[in-house]
Amino acid sequence: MIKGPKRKSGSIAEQVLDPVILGKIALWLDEAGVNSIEIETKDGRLVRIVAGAGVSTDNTDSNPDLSVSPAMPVKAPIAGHFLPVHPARDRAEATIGAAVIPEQIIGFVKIGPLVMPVRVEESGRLEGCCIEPEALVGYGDTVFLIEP
Amino acid sequence: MMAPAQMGSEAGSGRRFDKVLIANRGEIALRVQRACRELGLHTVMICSDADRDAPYRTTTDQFVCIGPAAPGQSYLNQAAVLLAARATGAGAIHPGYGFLSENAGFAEAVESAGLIFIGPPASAIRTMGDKIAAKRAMIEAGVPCVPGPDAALPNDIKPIESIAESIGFPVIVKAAGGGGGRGMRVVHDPSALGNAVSVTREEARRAFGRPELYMEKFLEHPRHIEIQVLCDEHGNAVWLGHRDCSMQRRHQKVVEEAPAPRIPVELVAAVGERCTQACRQIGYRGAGTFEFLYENGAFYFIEMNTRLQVEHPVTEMTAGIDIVCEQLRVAQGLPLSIAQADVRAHGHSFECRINAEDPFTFAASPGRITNAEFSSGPGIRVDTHVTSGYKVSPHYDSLIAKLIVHAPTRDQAIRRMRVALADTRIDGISTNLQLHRELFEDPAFCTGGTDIHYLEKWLGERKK
Repeated sequence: MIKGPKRKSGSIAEQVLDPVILGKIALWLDEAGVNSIEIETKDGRLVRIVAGAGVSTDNTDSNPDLSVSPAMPVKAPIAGHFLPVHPARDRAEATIGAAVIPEQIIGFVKIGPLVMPVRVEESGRLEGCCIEPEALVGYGDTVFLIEP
Repeated sequence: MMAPAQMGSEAGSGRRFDKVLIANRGEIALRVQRACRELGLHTVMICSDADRDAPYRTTTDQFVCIGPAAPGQSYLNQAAVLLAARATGAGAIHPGYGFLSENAGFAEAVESAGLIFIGPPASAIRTMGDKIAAKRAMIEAGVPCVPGPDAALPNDIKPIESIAESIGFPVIVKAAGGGGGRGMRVVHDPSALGNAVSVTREEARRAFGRPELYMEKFLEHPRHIEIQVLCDEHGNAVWLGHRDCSMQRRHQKVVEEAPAPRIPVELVAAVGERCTQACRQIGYRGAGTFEFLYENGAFYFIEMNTRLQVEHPVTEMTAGIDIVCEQLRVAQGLPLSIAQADVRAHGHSFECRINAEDPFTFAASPGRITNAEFSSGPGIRVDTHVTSGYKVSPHYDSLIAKLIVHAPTRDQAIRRMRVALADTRIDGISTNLQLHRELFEDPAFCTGGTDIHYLEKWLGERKK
């Protein structure tokens, strides 16, 4: 994941909590090829805005041998509705077959207005998604499978 | 049992909620689920990682895991429960018993989230959770209380000694925020008072987050008697009868029965009326239980449980009223379906708590149940979530089933329970079934009226 430089700000941090401004920043980041930025306020609060520019699908030529390296589950961090695409964006964070790395966001769980990222824990290749979009998932339910 | 009235037809489109999130696990989660389904309500059941295979997952509309096995991260995690309610579109939360059921902060949070808490108002939970405030409220309502001031003990030992002398030794020093047998100390003579107060105060500070103590007369051979109440938000309150829960080990009830034997009906009726009066005064709503000590023909209030009790089935069996359905009706804003004049006690009922524990050491016995066979037949009810193959988790309470019988008389109910216990078989783990079988052959227990110390004494002699 590409991270932008950490910036210090005061009033801007208040403004970016506005969903409209958040959406705009996310689009700008996406256009600039930056996945996320962190904004630290004067009172020490950290605001992280995730753009999630998607992951390359070029490297998909190998045939996984599941008997040798079983798929690793990527689990939901909380109960809610699974979203493969962030509500403010128009494309998935990752595509099947793509290489993924730890901490990379590959989906979301939505509860009301809250959107929680589903993050990769170990490097590998995204083998599949186990949940239908908008379906209810529970804490710890397997959402994706990754071939290590 | 009286058939619960359908809510839909009565409330029409004005129903406050159509979907209930059941914030609990085990037998009570299944019990609440059944009541909801009977009333045409949709259910959401939550679970922890350890309960993913709970059998009731197949009979609920939605089943969602909210956290790891540790209760603090799942069933006691208020934010996780509320988020699950939000995600599933539940309109109400039933807390069952234990966990968040008597947490006033949670009740408030539920209401703040625009949901219905199926229980009393947070203010009533808070009042009754503070033993001093509860005692004050009961005295105001004319409910008989244990001798002792309705105020916190001062800090200085001299006035505390004076209070103890005026009550008369032995006395019991209790934490205002305590309960369930924790945070209390019996003092038999003045020389031990100072130490007992300081140790209990420190224990109260650590265990309950507040150091306030109070003092009462210690009753030496009381019975534990409960009165079940139901209230709605329209000012109606009824009491459904009384229960004897004196068979306890380390303050944990083992066998309960209704009605309590050998207590004059007129005496109970007078106390029951006072209880309903107290409910009206504190603006109580839903199901609740007044707990009393009973000694020498007198009742003494000890505390009120602002939730459904584990032992509620024995009252359901004798009163013929589905208490959980009434809770749901009240939460919908409907009036109680029964008036006091409709309440009658029929026959006698016993409940045996079947725990996954060693019958002699009482050590928890988690593991897989290889075979579970429960009794059935007229007057026999089993409230359980376990089946053959079920794995009892080490993370939670060891209660795996409640075996309940009902018969026209106490003697017939005892005989029925003996047969039901003989027919019950649980293999693969240890249970206290054998303890129950022996208890139901004990002459003193079968006579009725044993005090709260009887079981401990009986167990001590049994080991010899």
